[in-house]
Amino acid sequence: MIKTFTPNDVLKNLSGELPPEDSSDLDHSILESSELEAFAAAAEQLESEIPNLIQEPGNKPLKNIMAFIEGELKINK
Amino acid sequence: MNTLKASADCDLIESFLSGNQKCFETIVRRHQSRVYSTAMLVVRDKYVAEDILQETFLKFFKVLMEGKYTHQDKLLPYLLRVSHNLAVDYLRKYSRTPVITSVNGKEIFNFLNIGEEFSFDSFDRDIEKERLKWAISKLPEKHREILLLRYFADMSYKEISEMLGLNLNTCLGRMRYAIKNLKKYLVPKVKRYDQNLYPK
Repeated sequence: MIKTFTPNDVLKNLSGELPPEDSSDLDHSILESSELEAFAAAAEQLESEIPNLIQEPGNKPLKNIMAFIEGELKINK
Repeated sequence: MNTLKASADCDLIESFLSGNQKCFETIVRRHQSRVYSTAMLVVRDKYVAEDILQETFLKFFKVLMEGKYTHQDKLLPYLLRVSHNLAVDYLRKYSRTPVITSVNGKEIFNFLNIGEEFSFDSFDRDIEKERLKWAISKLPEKHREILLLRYFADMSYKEISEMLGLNLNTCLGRMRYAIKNLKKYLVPKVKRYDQNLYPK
């Protein structure tokens, strides 16, 4: 039986939630469907680019958080 | 200190509750960049995002001290949700359009990176990043939340759907919508020359 794959399967494949036996069939489907191929390319690109958007904050928030917590813990002692 | 760095979140929480303050600092250091970036992707203002970062950890502290924290093995997703909700509340409260100038809180000339190290490639990459951040900030909050839990907290769709109390297909559908929207802002990665003709 030929299985039909959807963009949901592409997402599950990228997150490792697609059964391994379906993975290579999905690859074939992607090659045969331009719509699925475009979606898979965008999903893969986002998966690699979004983690690059993580930025470091300055040191101030950490200092403020720890100062607040020290104060609270002193009061509660 | 190295031992603390390698400890699991649940062990750090336990040690903190037994009186080791340093453990809370290790938790903040471990997760602050993702919590901050989540807020930045919504409010797009460095100073507001820093306030949200502080508020997120102070909320977590209060919940811990009241003995109400129940997400032992899912601290990062919990913190990202708090940060995202605080950022969305902030925008609602002040009915603000996300700030466009001086994104990142950098001076505009720093952002342009004009100087000895200026290169068009890095300039293009900065522009692409800013475009993507802007596009994410414009996503509906329900879709953005799933995107952030997937990419910042590395959760599976099954875990996300369980955490949010959603059907798995609803969760995947929201992600699909987010990707279709963001696709417009991606610059396709193309080869700049024929590598068969001009091998490296």
